[in-house]
Amino acid sequence: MSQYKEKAGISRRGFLTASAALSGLTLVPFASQAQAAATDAKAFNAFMALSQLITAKSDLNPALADTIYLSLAQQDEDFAARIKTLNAFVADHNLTSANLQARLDAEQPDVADLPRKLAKAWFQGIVGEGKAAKTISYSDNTLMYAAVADVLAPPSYALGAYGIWSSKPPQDV
Amino acid sequence: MATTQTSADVVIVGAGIVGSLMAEKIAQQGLSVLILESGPNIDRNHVVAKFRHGVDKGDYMAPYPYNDWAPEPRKFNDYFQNEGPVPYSASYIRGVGGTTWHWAGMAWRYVPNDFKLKTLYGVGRDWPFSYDDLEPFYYEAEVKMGVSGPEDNGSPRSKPFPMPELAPSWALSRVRDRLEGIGYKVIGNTAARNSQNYDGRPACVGNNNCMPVCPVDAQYHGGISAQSAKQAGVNIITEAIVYKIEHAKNSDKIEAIHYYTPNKDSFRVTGKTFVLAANAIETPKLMLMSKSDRFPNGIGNSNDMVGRHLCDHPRAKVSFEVDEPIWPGRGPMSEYSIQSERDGEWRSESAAFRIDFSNTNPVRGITDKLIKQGVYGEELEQQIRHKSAHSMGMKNIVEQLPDPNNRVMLGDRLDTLGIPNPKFYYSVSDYTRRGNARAREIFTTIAKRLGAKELSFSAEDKFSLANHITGTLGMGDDRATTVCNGEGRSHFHDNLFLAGTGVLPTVATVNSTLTAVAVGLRTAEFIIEDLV
Repeated sequence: MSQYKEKAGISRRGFLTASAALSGLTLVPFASQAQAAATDAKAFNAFMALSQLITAKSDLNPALADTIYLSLAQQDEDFAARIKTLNAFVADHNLTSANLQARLDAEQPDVADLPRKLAKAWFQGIVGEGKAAKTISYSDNTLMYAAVADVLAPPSYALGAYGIWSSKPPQDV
Repeated sequence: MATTQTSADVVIVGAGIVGSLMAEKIAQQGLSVLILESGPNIDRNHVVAKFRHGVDKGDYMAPYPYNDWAPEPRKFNDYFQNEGPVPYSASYIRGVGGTTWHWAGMAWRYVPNDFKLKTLYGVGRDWPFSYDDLEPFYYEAEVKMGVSGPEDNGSPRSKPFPMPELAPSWALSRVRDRLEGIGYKVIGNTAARNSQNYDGRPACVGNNNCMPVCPVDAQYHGGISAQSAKQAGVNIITEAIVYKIEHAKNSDKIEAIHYYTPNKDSFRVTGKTFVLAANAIETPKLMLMSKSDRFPNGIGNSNDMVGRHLCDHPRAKVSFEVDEPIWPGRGPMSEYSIQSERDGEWRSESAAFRIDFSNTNPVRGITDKLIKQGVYGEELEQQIRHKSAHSMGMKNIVEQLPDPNNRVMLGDRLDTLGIPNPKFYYSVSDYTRRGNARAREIFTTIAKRLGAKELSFSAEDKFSLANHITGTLGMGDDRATTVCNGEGRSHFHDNLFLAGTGVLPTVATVNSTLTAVAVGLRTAEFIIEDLV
């Protein structure tokens, strides 16, 4: 097991459970041992801290976290360095999710693309752009669908028994 | 190149919903039927898996197999070539089952006056038969396809729908109630979607994925038609790309059809009767390609009408936020609509239309926008929830009049088998633009009533086309301006029949599939009469 996984507290058992919860949709093969071993623990921790800021969640799915981190790192060789730069900037300036993008655009444009990449990965289950883009999750674990999971199913999954759509959905939104 | 002989009483090109259901009906009379399909077999579960793994979930073609030996318009190719003022776009699937693999299942009948536009309003053209003539075949199609809907929808019926109307979503009920009394009555759609177990297929369970594929076959599609055809004894040859229609040496009779395999081996298929049901763009293309000394303009095209009168629904759209959480996305994607503007005195001046409300799960598009805006954290989650609950989209299915200048032609590029791509001249007349202008006024009235915020109209000179490709093989009594007669028989070749949405001489205000199936089932009776 790689160093960052130990630090992030991901056990093999935890990984399997989390994977099973992904409705069988683990779409990107986990990177090789060599790649995982090369992962920078500080960079992974920075990634997790920023992911928590961007998603406002402290219970992010660890298996998905691994996949997102490794996929982003695969697509951008400077990712580890850049994510640490971003995290340091956020910490130094006490940035919040509300002012994050505007402040980066103005003061730290070199890493201003990263929050959108993290948001897209966690909320939409997509990592990468254009032809390199890939789906890494498509289920209730994908946060945009988690946000509405009490009312809507991700398209192609059944909402429920015939006619369930006639019922009154939540009105306090 | 090898040449091998095959033969059947009836040879049909195209294993889509129309060709397959005609094949089944003809085979049930004891005739031998062979279908040549350019594309491969399509497996539903494979398409569902590919959709879930796919990145561009708004591209309804992406989950389907693509083959450069049977090309179709895709985001990544330039299959369509355009010469007119409005670029013509469409998507269709070349494969067993055809394009109804991805449709919203809407199965509307035309209204009676749609069949006599010229007589009643002095515009467009009349059909060679009436609504009453087609009514029994509409019903036959509805039973086959498992259609349900509200009885009172503007199209008279001799018999009730084969199953009860689908349970309404909360969104439908709320919008219907809120719009009561403003003159635009909201009803549920008639659709080929099961409200109960029907014909071995289950009731809808709200996957909200009618496009690009219903994962449970609660929605009817052409793959099911092809299966029925096979059960009736029809032989379907897949990956058979038809490239030539051959006529007899000394007569106008069609004698054979030639097809390539993907590696360009050539086969010749003979028969007594031939049916072209290969889509309203690919069929004209094939006829135009089949030139000879006797028919220098191509088969069935001695009057230069093949491919002309191309019609679609060049729609206007609007989206806004409703003032209450209606939560679209529960139940089918296209669920309810307004019928009141499908016919009226104004039709001599301005195009008729239906208004469709979207019930598509909006979460993906909303999230995309918010992330682009740099919204993160709790705010992102809350806004996804709020905007999804209040989202509304409407569009008008607007009539376009048949214009001989709007047409499909042979293009200048060749595919890997040496077959040309289609080329288009397409425009949208003032008649249709006036219809869109009227629709925008109604959109505004409805939006106000629903307490709309953030109203956003599509640009007036941008049209969202509907893949309701019609007119290119138009039926009619006038041999000078149409391609086939009311039987679907070519004006120039007695044993050649045309079928599919292309034969509809007018596009009216509804999705064209049900009418194309009904007309095809009617044509099948004339074919049977010829041979039995």
